[in-house]
Amino acid sequence: MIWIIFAIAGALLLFGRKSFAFDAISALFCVFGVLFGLYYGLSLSEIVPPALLYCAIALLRRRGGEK
Amino acid sequence: MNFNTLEYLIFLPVVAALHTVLPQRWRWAMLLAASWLFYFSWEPLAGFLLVLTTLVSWLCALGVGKARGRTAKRALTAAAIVFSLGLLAVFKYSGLLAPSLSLKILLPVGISFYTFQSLSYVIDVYRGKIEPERHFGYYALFVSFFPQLVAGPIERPDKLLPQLRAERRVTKSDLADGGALLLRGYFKKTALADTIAPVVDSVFASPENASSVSVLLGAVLFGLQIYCDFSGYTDIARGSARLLGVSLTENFDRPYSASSVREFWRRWHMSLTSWFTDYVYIPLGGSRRGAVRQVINTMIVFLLSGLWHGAGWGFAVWGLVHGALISLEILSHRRAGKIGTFALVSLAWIFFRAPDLGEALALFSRLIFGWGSLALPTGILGALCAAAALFALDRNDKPSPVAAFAMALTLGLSALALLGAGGGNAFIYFQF
Repeated sequence: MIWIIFAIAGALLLFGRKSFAFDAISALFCVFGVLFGLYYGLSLSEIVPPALLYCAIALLRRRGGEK
Repeated sequence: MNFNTLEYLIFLPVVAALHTVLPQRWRWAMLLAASWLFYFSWEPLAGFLLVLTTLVSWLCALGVGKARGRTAKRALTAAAIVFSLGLLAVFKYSGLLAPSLSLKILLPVGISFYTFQSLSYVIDVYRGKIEPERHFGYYALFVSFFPQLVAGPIERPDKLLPQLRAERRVTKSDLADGGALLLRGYFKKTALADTIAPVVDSVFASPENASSVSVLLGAVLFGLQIYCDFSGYTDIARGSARLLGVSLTENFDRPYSASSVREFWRRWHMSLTSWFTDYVYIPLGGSRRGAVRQVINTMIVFLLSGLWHGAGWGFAVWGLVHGALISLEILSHRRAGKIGTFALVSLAWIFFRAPDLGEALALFSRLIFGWGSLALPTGILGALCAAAALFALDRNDKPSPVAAFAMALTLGLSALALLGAGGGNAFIYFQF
């Protein structure tokens, strides 16, 4: 489930409009994913991998936006 | 103190604040005191060795500057070299050179780095490239400047000394760039390297049980781990220096984009490569005396480079493997390409990471004969996500605000996870 939340956050970055609003909503989903994971008892080490994948998307997406 | 500790996160802003408020004429003294405090906190005896190396190299260089005859200049330069390398031999290589000696000598952290840095100063004075620094304080600061003291970059005197002497104003750009480098460095070390580390450790801990797939993944992931670890450290070092208005040399330039092993070494640990080029390879003749001599010089340089990393035959073989691959490129005029180079460099890392040569060979044996099982190491998913994040980070010099936010959040999570597990891993290159 946590992977789905981070996937939504990532999809907003990849396919959403390149604007502050979409970035902010995406970031909120990211935070929601962390809180969701903690609420359902996931360890921090289990939350880090989907967060890392989200980082990768966020970093690549910027490069795509510059093209 | 380690970079990834709370002590350093308090130490750095305090030093940066003092640097800003102090007048220029006192800054060197504050930075020198801070650098020695930073180093002495590791091990007091090691601190005395640092001060002794600094004093001897400074005096020898002053002597070289004052000496009239070439013989005297050579003698003083040789004395500095013998003294510094002698200390290195005793503290780093005594176990390798004389295994029967039961000397349990603590390896002073960063000795390989500050030894090479002080040697480059003396040799450059001898060559007439720079004038000797008469102010002991500035020279001592050059040798022990805390951001780059324990694991480089190995700075050249003509680049760093003028910056330390200059009237520096820390600008908003310095703070912004320094902050960005610090975020990048801590992210690479804490979120990426320390996520990959357990997977690599599990493969190398028991080579006899590893499958071929595990060995392959372990080798590739160690290559990424050491890159994140070392380049992360370099980013933290450069970011810290930037907060003090000092620019340190870049040490990495996307090394895994290299299309030949030779190019890899122009992109990996660039300060060490240029040091060996200028002070060993070129004086040996470089490529000026034919292909055979070039190959011999290359093998000597890479053997020394391997041993510089560690006092073990595994490191020596690792260096020789790289030397052999480059020699093949020289003789055949061919390159392995990006994927080929990445594969060769990854496989060579097995010699570097394995506890000893015997275990490295055991891993190669499992790589060839262990295809019966497709068992993957635990934590592989996290490691692969870290690899993806590293790939993306390497292609992005200026993360967007949302990317920076994501990095900071993930860094925080990783740091908390490591705290819960008893703390993060030390930087790999601190042991060299």
